[in-house]
Order: sequence, then structure tokens, then C-alpha cells
Amino acid sequence: MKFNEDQIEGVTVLRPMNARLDASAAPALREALIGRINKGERSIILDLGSVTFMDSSALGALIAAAKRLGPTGTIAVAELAAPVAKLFSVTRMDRVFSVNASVQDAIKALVG
Amino acid sequence: MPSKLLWADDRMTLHANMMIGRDLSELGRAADQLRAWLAGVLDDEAAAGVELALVEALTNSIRHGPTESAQPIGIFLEVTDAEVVIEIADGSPPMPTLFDGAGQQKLELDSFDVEELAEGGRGLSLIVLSMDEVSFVQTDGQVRLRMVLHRR
Repeated sequence: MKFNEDQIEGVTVLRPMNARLDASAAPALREALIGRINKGERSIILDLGSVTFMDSSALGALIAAAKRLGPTGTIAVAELAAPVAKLFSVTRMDRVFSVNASVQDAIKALVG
Repeated sequence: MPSKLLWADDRMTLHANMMIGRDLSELGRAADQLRAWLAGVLDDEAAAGVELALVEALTNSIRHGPTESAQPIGIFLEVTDAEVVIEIADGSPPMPTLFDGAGQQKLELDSFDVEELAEGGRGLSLIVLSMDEVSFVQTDGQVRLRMVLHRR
């Protein structure tokens, strides 16, 4: 799975280029996030603007990464399509992760 | 394998089916075919819910189904004026208690501390929440997971 990556105001913005984040893509998502955390990234925004479908396996990858990051870091998500936003809401992950309408909003929330 | 599509015009019923291999890389193909079948049948929100239910069920079959079987997994669709029915045949025995306890209550969180969150275990609840009926049925000598969405 391909990712685009940017650094904006010291925050890593990771954009999966797959439209589908399902169980076949979840290991790559997990590896991408944990790889950056292991390199010392403490604030990561996952830009889901290209994603039209996400399932519970991909959510599990996010949770695994958040556990690796621990309480001193943050993973935020942005640009959620309607079905993805509904998944976060139904599973209450919108109470666990910072959910933002845009990457800019997520950056403001993270760096002020 | 190619999918099959059949309109029975007198009853306004759509039948379609496809087979997929027992591999997670097949999920996207199954989902794309489902979306093609449901185009013009359900609105986008409802179709997204059925897609999520299908993908979660297939993931469960591929991960936890009979791994010794080389048989493909069958996906069967029936659309009537009243409902959309998806059935999955993966060679598993009936599991009448599989969905016991699944639903919104299982997705609720006692704590928002990420350390206390399970990484998995949400799929069956998402299936239950996305569809109106979930059960196991015997069809053509096969056990099938049957998922129904009411259209009205």
C-alpha cells in the first residue's frame, strides 16, 4: 500500500493512497504508523481523504499504533468520508481519536 | 470466477452470485461486485452498510473458517422489493450462538484509555448493526450465513 507523507508544522501527515482500508490493507497501515512512531514521531495525522471504505481490521491497526505511541503522543484522523465517519462514531472511536474535518483543523488542534 | 446475474421479471427479483478465494486480497473484488449489484437498488448510505457487513463477514470466514478447505467462498444475493438478502457459504458448520451479545452494547466503551481497548472483536457487532436480520440457514445442503436488510 502506498502512502503520501508530509511534515507540516512538525506534524507527520500520512495519507494512505488506497481507497479501501480493509483486512488486507490493515497490516500495512499498522506497519506504516508504528514505523513512524518507532522513528520518534509523536504527532501523526492520518489523512483519510482518499479512503472510501474502512473496516474493523483497519480500526484495529489504528488502536495498535495508538497503544505503541502511548499517552505522550497523538494520532488524529482527518477528511473522513461519510461511511468512515460512521464507523468511527458507531465504534466510539471518535471518542478515542481526534477526528477532524480537514488536515488543517487537525494541525490546529495539535499545535494550536 | 464470474458472477451470475439474473432478473426474474415476473417477480421483480434479482439473483446474483459469485465465488471468491479464501484470501483477504479477494475482499476488494467482492465489495466492488456487491456495489455493482446494488447500484440503483439502495442509496449510498444503505449500500455502504451492506458492504461493511459483507466485508466483515468474509474477513471472519477467511480468518476463522475451515482452513483445510480449498473450496471457494460463495456469495449469494437476492433483491426483492422488500429486502436485500446476502448469504455466505464458507463450509463452516452452523454456529447459532456466534452473534450472541453482538450489537451496539458490545461496542460501547467503559474507558477511552487506548491501553484498555481491544484491537479486534468489533466485526460481528458491525454486521448486526448494519443489517436487520442475521442468522444461519441451510440451503442446497450448505450452511449459509444469511444477512437481510429491509428496504421499507
